Amino acid sequence: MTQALPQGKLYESQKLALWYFWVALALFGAQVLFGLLAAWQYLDPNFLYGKLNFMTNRMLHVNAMIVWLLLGFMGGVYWFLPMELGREVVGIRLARFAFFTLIAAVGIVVLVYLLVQYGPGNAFTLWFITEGREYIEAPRWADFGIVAVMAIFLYNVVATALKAQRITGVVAVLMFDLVALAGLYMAGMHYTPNISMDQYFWWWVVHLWVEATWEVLVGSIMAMALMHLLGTPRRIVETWLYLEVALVFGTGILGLGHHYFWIGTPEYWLGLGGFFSALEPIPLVAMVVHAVYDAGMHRMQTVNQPALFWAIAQAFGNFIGAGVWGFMQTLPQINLYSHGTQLAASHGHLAFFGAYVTAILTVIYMALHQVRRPDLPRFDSRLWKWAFVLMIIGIFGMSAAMTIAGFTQTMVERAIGGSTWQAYIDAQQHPWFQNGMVWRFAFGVFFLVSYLVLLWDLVTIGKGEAKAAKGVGAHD
Amino acid sequence: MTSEAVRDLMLYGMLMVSAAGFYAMFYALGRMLGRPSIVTFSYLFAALQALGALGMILPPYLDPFWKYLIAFSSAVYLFIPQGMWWVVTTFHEKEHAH
Repeated sequence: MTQALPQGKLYESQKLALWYFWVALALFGAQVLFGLLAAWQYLDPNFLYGKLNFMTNRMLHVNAMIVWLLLGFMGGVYWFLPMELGREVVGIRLARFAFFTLIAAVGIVVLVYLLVQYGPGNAFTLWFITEGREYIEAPRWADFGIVAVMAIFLYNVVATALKAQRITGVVAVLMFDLVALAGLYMAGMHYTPNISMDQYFWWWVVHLWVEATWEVLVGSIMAMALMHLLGTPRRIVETWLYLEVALVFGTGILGLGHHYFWIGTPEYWLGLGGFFSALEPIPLVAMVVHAVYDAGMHRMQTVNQPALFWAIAQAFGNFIGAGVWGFMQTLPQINLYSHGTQLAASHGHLAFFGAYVTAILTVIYMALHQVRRPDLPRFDSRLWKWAFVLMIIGIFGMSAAMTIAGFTQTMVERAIGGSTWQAYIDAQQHPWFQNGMVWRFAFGVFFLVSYLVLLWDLVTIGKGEAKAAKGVGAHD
Repeated sequence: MTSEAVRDLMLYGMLMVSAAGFYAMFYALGRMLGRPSIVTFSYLFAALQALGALGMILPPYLDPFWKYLIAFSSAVYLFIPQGMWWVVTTFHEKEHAH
């Protein structure tokens, strides 16, 4: 069984996890803000032109997302690991050093992105400004920093398990996954002037992080979360985790091929990528069954209502965002026309939100419960329900708008127009595309509001009861 | 491939996988609540899922390899809810028996 400290006490690792969570939430806000600026630039291309161009906004939007999700995952592991292994994390000072180094590095990189933005195509730019490679634009010095931080993170997990002389199934999966996580990132540091070869390895990071190692990392974190949240027995959780790892790796690793359709790789990738990608939604459908079972068994009630709802949303969100929106455009015959359009963006938005944002919010609510009112039989508020509903409407609204715009691009620009320059202009001027961009911005504003509601709830939830309890305690 | 073919494949693909998800959800819900009517309702989505697959398989848009692949996926989706329900309940029963 997992071991928590007595009420009100936290492991040092858990105190560090809280730092991770709050910085992650701040970067979540930055992601939304830069996304909104970029969305507005679709409507008014002159907005901030020459000062904060679309390419910089988009880069900050995407990179903020990657970093905050990574911080959220690391926070999740630092939160649950000591309870899982029944002891403080080994190398906690090193972990703290890694945290502050990472935050300082992120701050410097963001300042360079904002103030310098880009440079000539030479080694100096690559090392100190930006690598210029989509999603992993961080300059090379920061790449080494990220790998070093991941290595420290891996050391924390492995050393703690060895010191505790206990390696649970969840921790074993976690350890192997972290090796892959750090190792795969290095594939993105490989540079070659051959664009096909360069993209080939670049996708190892972008796809294999997101559709393999991150999925397993989240699976491990959610496994530990479900044991605490629902009291699910370890044997069930671990068996599920093994099954999930087998299915996710089994379909996800070679599902990588759906990015190799049209980048100059050999033709066999069409069959390989298409085959495994078509199977990728299967484990996600299976997870829906388990989520319904768990929710039904607990009659949608548990000690931590927001965490339960976000956990259930994770299973459904992962299926809809990654499964449905992914399958829609994963066959090479469709992908030939749809790749790189707003359809891909809609899939990205829904999948990241469904698979990862929901999971991190689950863990954060669980942590806040233990920090603020572990004695409460029910950790609840009115505000989280608003945040939950508004956020889901916001992300679906944005994704629907992008889907319509992307469908227009796929049809008008690619399938009908044959990807000519004129066809591009026709698609951009098409009312479905233009209205799609307006609605994307409108739902983006909606999402920002939901983020603020969520943030306010996270700051305040449980605090009122804590004060009331202290007051009662004083009278007693 | 024509633009109509791209459109049809995309929409039928969306129908196929989303219906598979609703089928799984309603099937599990019906079994969970012990309501056969909801389980029966879920079969509507199973049929829609198969319809989505047929929409991709029957027209001459795709080569046989892709048609077999979609037929295989569709067949798997038909049995996932029952299979996973059996796995989940068996796990839990065994665990509670311990």
